[in-house]
Amino acid sequence: MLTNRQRLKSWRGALYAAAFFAGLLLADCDCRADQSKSINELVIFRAQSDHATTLLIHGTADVSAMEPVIRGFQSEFRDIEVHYRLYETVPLYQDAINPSDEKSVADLLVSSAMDLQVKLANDGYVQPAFIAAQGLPDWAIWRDEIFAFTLEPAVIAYNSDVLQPDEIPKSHQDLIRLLERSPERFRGRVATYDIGVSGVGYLFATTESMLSANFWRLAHAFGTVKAQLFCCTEDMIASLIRGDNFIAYDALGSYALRHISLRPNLKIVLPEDYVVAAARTIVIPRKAAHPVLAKKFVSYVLSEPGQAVVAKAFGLSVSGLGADREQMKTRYVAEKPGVLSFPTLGLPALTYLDLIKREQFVKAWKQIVSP
Amino acid sequence: MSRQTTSIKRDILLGAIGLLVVLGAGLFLYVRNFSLNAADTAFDRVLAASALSIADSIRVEDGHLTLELPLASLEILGAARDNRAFYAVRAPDRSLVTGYADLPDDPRSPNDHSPHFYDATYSNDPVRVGSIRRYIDFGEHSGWVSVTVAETREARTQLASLILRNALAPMAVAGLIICLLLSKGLNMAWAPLVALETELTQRVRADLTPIRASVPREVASLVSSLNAFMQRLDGVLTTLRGLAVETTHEMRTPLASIRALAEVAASEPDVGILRSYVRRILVNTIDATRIVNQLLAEAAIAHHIETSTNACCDFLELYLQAVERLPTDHMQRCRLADISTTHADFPVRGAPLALRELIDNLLDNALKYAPCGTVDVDLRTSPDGSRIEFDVADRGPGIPDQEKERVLGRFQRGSTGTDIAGTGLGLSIANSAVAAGGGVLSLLDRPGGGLIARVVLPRAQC
Repeated sequence: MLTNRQRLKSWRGALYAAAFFAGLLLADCDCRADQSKSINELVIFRAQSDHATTLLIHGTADVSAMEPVIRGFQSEFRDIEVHYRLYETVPLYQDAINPSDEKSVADLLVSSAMDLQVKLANDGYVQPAFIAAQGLPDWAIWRDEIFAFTLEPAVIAYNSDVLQPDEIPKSHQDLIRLLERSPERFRGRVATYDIGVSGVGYLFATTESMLSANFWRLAHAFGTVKAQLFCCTEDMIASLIRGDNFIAYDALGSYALRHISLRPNLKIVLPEDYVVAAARTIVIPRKAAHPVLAKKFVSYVLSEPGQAVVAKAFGLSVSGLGADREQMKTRYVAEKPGVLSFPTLGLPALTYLDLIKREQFVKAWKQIVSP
Repeated sequence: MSRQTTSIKRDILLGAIGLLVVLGAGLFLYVRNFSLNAADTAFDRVLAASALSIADSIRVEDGHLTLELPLASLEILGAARDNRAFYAVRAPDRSLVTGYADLPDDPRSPNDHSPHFYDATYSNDPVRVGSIRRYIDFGEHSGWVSVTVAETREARTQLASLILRNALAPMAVAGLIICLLLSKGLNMAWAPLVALETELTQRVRADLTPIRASVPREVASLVSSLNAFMQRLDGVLTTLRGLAVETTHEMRTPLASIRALAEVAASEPDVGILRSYVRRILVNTIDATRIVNQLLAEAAIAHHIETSTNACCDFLELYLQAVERLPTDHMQRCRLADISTTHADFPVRGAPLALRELIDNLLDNALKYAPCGTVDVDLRTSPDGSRIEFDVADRGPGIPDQEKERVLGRFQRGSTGTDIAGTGLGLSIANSAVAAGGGVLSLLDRPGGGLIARVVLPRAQC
């Protein structure tokens, strides 16, 4: 009897462990949102003069976004060759814990999965870099080990061919009202993250659930209009441009911003009540082969010229204390963006990674949004 | 090999600094220990709160343990900003519900259910682990669920070092101030001595006048004893100088007469007359010799009184020794009265040499001026036992009252004994010896003719 129960327990434990990693794996196809198709492709940025050392960066940010940042770095350190390898967030995390071979140990990890990066730092897989970053806000740095260098708000994107000007949802409240007023018109026409699959989507949802009393009402509205769930911003935007969907909720601002000039019918709104945001973070693995070089890169990315390049490539920089709102207004052409909820780096981020917590939240959300 | 001279100032300063360093080290260890404990106490409560918030969220669903990890549980640990944190929730059978599977489990027996805190190493860092147990009733699996939360020590170390710094900084300042005060105080204490030294070195050599520099109370006794010493030195010098002058003066007459006699004798052909000259030369020489002896004795006594410590001696013994030194015929003339008194001993304080001269001179005078009769000596203790009285009585010519004072001076002789050889120094020496012993020498008329020389000395407590 007892042995039976024990066996059952251990079997359940194994099941949980498997589910945890499966969950993580599934959780992060969102990275594709701003990545080129070829995952694990190695891009080599040649040194501008005779190259002396090679810096290996593993990152989830797409090459076209990272390129100006890396080029900017190389213009200051002309003899450094940079190798950039594209990853999905979970393999990036797993590789950092168990490198497949010594050569592949990265000098830097750039990831949009803030919680996984925090977990790396918390569990002792990264090393500190004491950067004299000026104007870097408190939320963007933890233990001198993990640094946020971009700020990427969740936006409401819409197809301006379909939506009348008076229908444009300027806030979460507006969106709820719009969907509740005419559910038939928007049935199957609203796109949002599948938070069971997307890490960033899950992060946005949990943050909003704590921030807003109307979160579950909005979820209910999504359920009513049978919102389509996507893994990634890329797919959401694509379907929006095609006209399959009218509204994309919680799309990653940085990605939408890059396409807005090319697609005249693509418009975005920064909600006027509150804005949630994700941050791209950078860490130096403890086993990095070129830690000194890596620190130089982090220094550069957080420096004034570095942040200027970041602002151009990712929409928003993190530095410039007190200027976030102005920066946001300018970059996102928003008249009066709402209260910005910063993605604070630190221990609280770990609670989102707790398997049971995640499982329960996603289950509750799924039951409402797609019964 | 040169031996370094000791310095009180340096010794005191080094001693104080050494003491302060030892004290500081002791305080450092104490405060450090205290601050670590204080930090642990404070942060253990946070750890417990975190664990409790996790425990509160434990639920049972479909017969399984489940929980929604509260944001607050890690948020309150993250309030310290720099800490890393780990957690594990374990079912009654020790299987993991959620969290870090390899986090060290509460080592206590399953029956101990109070909150427990202990140190461990996890993820290559020292961590503080807090563990609580909560009873969850869910059918056959019911039991104590354990919630273990661990955090790294950054915040604790920070708080501890903050306490340590804030506790030690005032102490360090106080130590510095103590050292400064000490050095300043020592300089102040030394200042009067330096002033004294300056005054003494700037004096002309022969200046033995008292020091006039105003000094604090603490140094006043040193100055007064220095002054007394110089005064005594001055006294001895004056005496010796007077003696030298007197000696040359007294010696001049016999030497001149010896020279005149010798000159006359040198050209005297008659042997008989020559012999009489020689005899007179001899008499003069004896005279001169006595003067020199007496003067030397006085000088010796004066020196002796100034320099010797006042030893304790028995007056009777001194008298008996003096009698023994006399020639036999003289010895027989001295008669000591019956001394059957209450006190068998006669202790006095004084320079032994001076007391001996005192007795010698008094006996000598009595024997000399009363050549035929006996000398009656009496030694008593005063009725109250505080003094010793010594009488030397003779049947000589005595001294008239108006001269009694004068003959105690140097080179003063009474009018009654001018035909007898003498230098006029005997009584003077006796007088200064008695005065040095704190007593009085008086000359009294003896009933029935003669003189009593009476010495009264304080009885010593030996």
